[in-house]
Amino acid sequence: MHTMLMLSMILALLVFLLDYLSMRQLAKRVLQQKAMLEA
Amino acid sequence: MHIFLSSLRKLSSPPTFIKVAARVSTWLGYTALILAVLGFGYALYFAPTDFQQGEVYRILYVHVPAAWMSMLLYTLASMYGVIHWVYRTKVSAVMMRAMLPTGAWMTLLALVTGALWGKPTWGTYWVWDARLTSELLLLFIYIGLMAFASMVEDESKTDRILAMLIVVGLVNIPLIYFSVIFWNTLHQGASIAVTGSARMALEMKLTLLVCTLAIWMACAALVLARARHMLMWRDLQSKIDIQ
Repeated sequence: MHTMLMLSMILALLVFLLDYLSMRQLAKRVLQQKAMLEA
Repeated sequence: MHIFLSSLRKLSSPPTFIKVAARVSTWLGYTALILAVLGFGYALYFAPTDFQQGEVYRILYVHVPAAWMSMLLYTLASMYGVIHWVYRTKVSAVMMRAMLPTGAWMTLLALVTGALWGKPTWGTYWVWDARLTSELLLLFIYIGLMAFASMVEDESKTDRILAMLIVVGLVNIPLIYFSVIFWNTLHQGASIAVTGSARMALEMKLTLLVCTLAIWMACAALVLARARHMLMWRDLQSKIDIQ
C-alpha cells in the first residue's frame, strides 16, 4: 500500500503549504504596515 | 560556555534576531527540501517492506516525525514561556507564539496519518486509546492557546499569561509520551528507543532519521520566519504608537 505513504506525503505537503501561507500573510501585513508608516 | 551564553544574549536582541532568523530560515528551508526529496524518495521506492505490517507501515515515515514534532514544539514553546516569564524578552515572546500554529499543524498531521494507518491495521480509524486521546487533547490545547493568543489586538499585553498557560499545558507531554507504558494501549510502543528496546531494521531507521530531519528543519524554518515577522510587526506597532 504505497498509496498510503503517498497520501500521507500529500497531506504533509498540504499542511506545510497552509502553514507557509499563513506565515506569508503575516509578512504581507508587515510590508503593508511598513509602507503605510513610510508614506 | 561563555561564548554560548554571549551569543544567546546577542540573539535576544530583536535586530540581531531578525537578521539571523532571515538567513537561518532560508538555509533550513532549502536543506529541508533536499532531505525531504532524499528521505521520502527512499521511503517510497527503496525502503524494505515490513514483515508483519507489509506496505502500510510506510506511513510511519510521516506519522512518527509529525508526532515527535508536535511534542517537541510544545516543549520548546514552554521553554520560551519560562524564559519569557523570567526575562520578559521580546524574542522569547514571539518564539513562544510562533511555535503554536506549526505545532498544531503537526499534531493534526500525526492524528490524520495515524487514523489512515489504523484503518487497515486495527480495523478502525479511531479508538479512545490513551495515546490517541492525549494527542487529541494536545491539539485542543494548541487551538485553545492560539485562540487566546489572538484575543487581544496588542499581543504584548497577553504574553505573560500566555506563557503561564503554555507551561501549565506541558503536563500533557509526558502523558502522551509515556501513555504506552502507563496504560494498556492499542497503540504500539516507541518506534525508536535509546535503550534499544525498539527493534527496527537499520535501513528503516536511517530513512526515518532523514525524514525526521527534513520535517524538523521545515518546522524550524517556518517557526523562525514567523517569529521574525511577528517581531517586525511589534516594532512597527510600537513606532505607530509613538507617532
